[in-house]
Amino acid sequence: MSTGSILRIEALGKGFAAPRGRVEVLHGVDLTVAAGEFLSILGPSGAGKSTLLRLVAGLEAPDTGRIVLAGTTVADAARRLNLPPDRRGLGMVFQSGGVWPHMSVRDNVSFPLVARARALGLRHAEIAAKTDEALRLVSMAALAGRRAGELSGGEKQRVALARAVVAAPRIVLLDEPLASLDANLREQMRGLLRDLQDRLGLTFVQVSHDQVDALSMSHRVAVMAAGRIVQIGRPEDIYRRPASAFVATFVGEGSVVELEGRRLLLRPEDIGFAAAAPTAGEPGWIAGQVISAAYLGARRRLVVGCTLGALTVDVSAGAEVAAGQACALRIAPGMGIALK
Amino acid sequence: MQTTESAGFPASRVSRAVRGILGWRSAFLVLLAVPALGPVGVILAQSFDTSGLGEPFRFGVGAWRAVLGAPETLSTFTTSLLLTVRVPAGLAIGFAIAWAVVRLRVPGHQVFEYLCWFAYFLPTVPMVSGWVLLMDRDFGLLNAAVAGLGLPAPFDIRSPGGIVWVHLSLQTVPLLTILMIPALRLLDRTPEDAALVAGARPARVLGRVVLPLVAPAILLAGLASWIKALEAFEVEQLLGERVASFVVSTRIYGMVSSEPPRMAEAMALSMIFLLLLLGLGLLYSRALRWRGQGAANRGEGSGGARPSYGTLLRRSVSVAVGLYLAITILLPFGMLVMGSFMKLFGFFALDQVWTTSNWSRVLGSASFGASLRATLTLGLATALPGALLFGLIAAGMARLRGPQAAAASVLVWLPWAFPGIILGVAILEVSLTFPGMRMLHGTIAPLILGLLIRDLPIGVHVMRNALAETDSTMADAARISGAGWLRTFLRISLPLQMPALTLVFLILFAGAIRDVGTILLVAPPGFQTLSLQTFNYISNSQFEMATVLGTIVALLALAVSVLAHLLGRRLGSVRSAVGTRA
Amino acid sequence: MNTDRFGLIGRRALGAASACLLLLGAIPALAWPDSPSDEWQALVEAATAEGGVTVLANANLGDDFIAAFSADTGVPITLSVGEHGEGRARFYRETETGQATFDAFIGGRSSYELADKGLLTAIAPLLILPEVTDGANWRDGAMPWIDPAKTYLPMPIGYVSAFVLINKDVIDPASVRVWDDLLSPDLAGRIAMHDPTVPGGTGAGASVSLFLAEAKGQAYLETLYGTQFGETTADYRQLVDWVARGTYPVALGTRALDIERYRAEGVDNLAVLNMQDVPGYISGGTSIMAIPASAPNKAAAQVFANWFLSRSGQTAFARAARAPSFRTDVTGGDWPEYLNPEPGRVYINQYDQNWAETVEPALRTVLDDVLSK
Repeated sequence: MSTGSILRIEALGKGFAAPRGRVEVLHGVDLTVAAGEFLSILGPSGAGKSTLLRLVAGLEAPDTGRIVLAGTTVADAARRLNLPPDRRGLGMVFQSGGVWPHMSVRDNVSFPLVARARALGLRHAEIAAKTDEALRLVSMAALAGRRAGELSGGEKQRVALARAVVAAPRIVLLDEPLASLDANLREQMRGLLRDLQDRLGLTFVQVSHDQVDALSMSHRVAVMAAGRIVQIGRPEDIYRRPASAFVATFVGEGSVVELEGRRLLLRPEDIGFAAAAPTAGEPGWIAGQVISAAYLGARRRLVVGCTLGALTVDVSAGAEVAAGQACALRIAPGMGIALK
Repeated sequence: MQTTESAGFPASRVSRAVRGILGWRSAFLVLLAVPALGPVGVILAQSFDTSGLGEPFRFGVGAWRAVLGAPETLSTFTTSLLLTVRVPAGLAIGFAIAWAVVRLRVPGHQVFEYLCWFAYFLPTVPMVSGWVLLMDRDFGLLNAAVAGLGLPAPFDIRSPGGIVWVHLSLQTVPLLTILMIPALRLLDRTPEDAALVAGARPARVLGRVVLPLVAPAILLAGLASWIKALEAFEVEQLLGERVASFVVSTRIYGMVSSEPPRMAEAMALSMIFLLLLLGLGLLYSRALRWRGQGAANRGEGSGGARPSYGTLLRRSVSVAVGLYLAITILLPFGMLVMGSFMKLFGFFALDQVWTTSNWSRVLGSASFGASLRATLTLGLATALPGALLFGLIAAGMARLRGPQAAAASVLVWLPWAFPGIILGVAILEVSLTFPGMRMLHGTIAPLILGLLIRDLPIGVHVMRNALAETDSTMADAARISGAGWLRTFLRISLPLQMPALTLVFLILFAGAIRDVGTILLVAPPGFQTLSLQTFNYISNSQFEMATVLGTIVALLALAVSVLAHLLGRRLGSVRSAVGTRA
Repeated sequence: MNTDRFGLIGRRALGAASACLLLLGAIPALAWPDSPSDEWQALVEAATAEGGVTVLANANLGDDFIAAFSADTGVPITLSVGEHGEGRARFYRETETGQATFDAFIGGRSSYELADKGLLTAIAPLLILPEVTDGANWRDGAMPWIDPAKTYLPMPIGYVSAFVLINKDVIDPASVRVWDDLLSPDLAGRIAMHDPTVPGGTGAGASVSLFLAEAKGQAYLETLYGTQFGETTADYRQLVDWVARGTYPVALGTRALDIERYRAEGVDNLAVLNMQDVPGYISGGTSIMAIPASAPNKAAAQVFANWFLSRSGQTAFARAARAPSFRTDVTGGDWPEYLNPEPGRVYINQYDQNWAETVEPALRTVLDDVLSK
């Protein structure tokens, strides 16, 4: 990842007309993305993530602010400038893939090269070579002649990815690319995205509402809520040092408690658990009762009622715990995330 | 960092040129306004022309005074309004058939749906003669059958009730059914399933669950049908002479047909009519936009999956629907064919009732070959460019936002309110008075223009729906991949919309070969379609020849309707292949 | 032969080719007219070079009429249906704006005002065939015109109208001999009539009513409409159908075309009666020819005008229209006898412009008054 910024968003605002009046979706968003970075924009539905991405892509025009891409202003509301998407040199993968079912896999992938052949000075042989290379990168070379409409969901996303990177775009935009895939495919695609980024050094900007996607693949994560970026930082910082109660509760799980005059977020993995009531005088342990126990495969998630309230606790999958069982919880000093 | 504002990837020459002309959106709206408002402007101007024969334009309100002061004006409007009573009846029947076809999936549902398409494409004028053979007061077969039982003849096809029945059976119900089927098809089945599981009977499910969910679509279809009902002409012209007052469209026709023609009065009356219809058209386009912004009630359980109704119910409804469609569509069609073999139309009391000479005379005449060629020429010359043009308009409208989108929606729907005869008069006036159009007078260009204007609303509507049902990311992906607007349209949007385009092609083709009112006044000398020839035969009381031609046009309609029906179904499968809007 | 399948350009090309072939003598000489003059031959060549003639006329003329013209002149012809309401509207508007797409219009008596305003071509100077201009070939010694100047609007066909159609199985023909017999109480509500309010104002219903107003007076007309007429209809054929079925055993305002069609198919209970006191009026039917001043093919129009008024043309037209021509040499056609004017009898000519402008208005007032009651 280089240090120069490839994308700069300044005071970006956008609203839409609605039956009962105008709705403002983005409120003065500022964001900078470094070249070669993998940035995820995370937030709940309606936060404005996709709108932000569509503005960067040129599919919408901003009401306020501007967008600078690789040193070029591509959108400036004050001067009514909005460069159309075909002139921004981007690649994009959509949630549904957006592959064209009536065209072959090869034609799908080569399309950006063909469309920009004159501008890039590409000849037929070069287009073919680049297309083949992109197909190999996503392991779709064997299906190059297949009609895209006949592919599975995962295969379509691979083709979409190949198409997005084939023309060496300035930025690859990903609009919830893994949302329609099952768990196994998601894991495969995550690996593929990481791999592509490592190999090609491209800049990726991903929009997602899935924390695992965001945290596992990104150099930085920007959390959005109600049209604003509320926190941006490394995944560890977002998870361990959330700037607000919203970020704390949205990213990861936990229980909010009042302890020693402070409001704390306790992550499930931070709470100690003993499958028996504490003995009298044992310091640091709180008596509790298991309210529910859910087997999640890799671990067991408990909800335990105690003097602090109902706390979510993770224990090992092998632990034999049943609802109604007496237990003890331990919160080590210094654990928990202080909430403002 | 100092920013630069380079042009990025160079735009195509076409894009640059279009953007250079004051913005393509404004130019697009102006181009849309021409067919929508042009006829209105011409009619309005001519309504104030009080000049005599051969004199230059002279402004005056004489025609308006004459029309507003005539007692027939109010009575014709009243009659026109009263005859639209068929619309609520048609809504009820059409909804019942659509529900039976889509939600109940009764045995034979595919045939029933096809029959509605068949009826939609059937030519109205000759089909009227089929009903005449059945229900004429004096010789109708149904009346004869009832009279044979010693009862008085109950039917009179040339009464207001007869006119309503002909419309209902041949046009209103089939059209409304076709309009409501897509809405029911998109409906998620889970609300119905939930109601059935909760113990509700089918009637309660229909009334409390299905009907409220599709009420907006029903009301929209009803409004569209009501507009069309108000402007109806051909059936009223053929059957309405005994009705105490004419309807507005036939009165306009009468003014145009006077010696000399009372054109200014016809235009004044047309303007009043148009203002009413345009108001309804505006309401309709507004309602369409409201509905587009509301919930679509689509869900995972839509499409081919049907709720779980009982077999007995389905079979009973199948019989009822089958009987209704057989009586209202197949029976008059059969009569039409039968009439073509009669020596004297409707005369059964001859020694020799039947003959094939009508067919040999028609097929052997030089004019038949010319009419057939003219029909196919007009059909193709209208449908081919029309389908592409409407696709382009729909694609252009998809890129509009805010007030521009609203204005475009209104402009596109305005021609829905133009009665064919008024549109024909307007086209004639435009081609006679506008310098740029004069060179086209005497060619088939004004006919094509009139037919395209007339079908602009339905054609663009079908394409817009198809585009809306297609995942917009298809076009977005192309744009981001570097394709300009035109390449995106030609390589991506057009191929994906091919089924819809073909459906629009068929609608335009069938409309062109069936039309009478729009092209009556502007058909160049010697250019006579089969429908025009049929209309002329009927106007000269040559029903025998008219039924032969009507049968031939009906068979053409049969072929077109089969294709349209198959495409209509394929559109559904294409929708599921490309995915609905996320 | 309808050659307009290729539009104007195609017709001109075809015409030019035909002209070339004619000049080269490749087309055999035509048998009509007898001994054509040089002037006529030059005219025909010019008409052929123009591409032919376009005529707006009644749909009933049909293929035989077209074939006859083509066989006689060798000039291509396009026959367009134009006599109906919308056709008349088109005829008026195109003539009025000077953008006629047709060369000749054959229809009813609708063109006076156009002639008065100079929007029509004078036909009389165009007639160069001796058989057309020779008065001996016409009844009463001259071809009839309906315009006072006898220049613009020839009326070559004339037949007696206002006959009474009865179903002789129901009504004894001997009981209906004079107009007053129609007022018999036995016929109250049993007479059908063509609708006099049909747009255009010159349909049979209006014409018969005007005739009766003139011949028998307002009181007669009031009784007819008040008690004797059962129903009116704008459909000519419907009238004949009613009589044939006995629905209404008597009808006024019928057309010979429809009556003879029914008879030809075996309906033998129809009787046509000319009233003996006032036998009727003369109608020109749809035989009035007009040529717009802006006719695109002037030579072709002239050829057509001459042919139309010739023996050959009138024979073809009279056969198609099933009505007698005013030409003395057009006889033996299959029009019914009851249409022939009696020699020596004077009939009201409702097509005459003088009558239309001086007598008709007062009669219309009478008719409007009767209909309003």
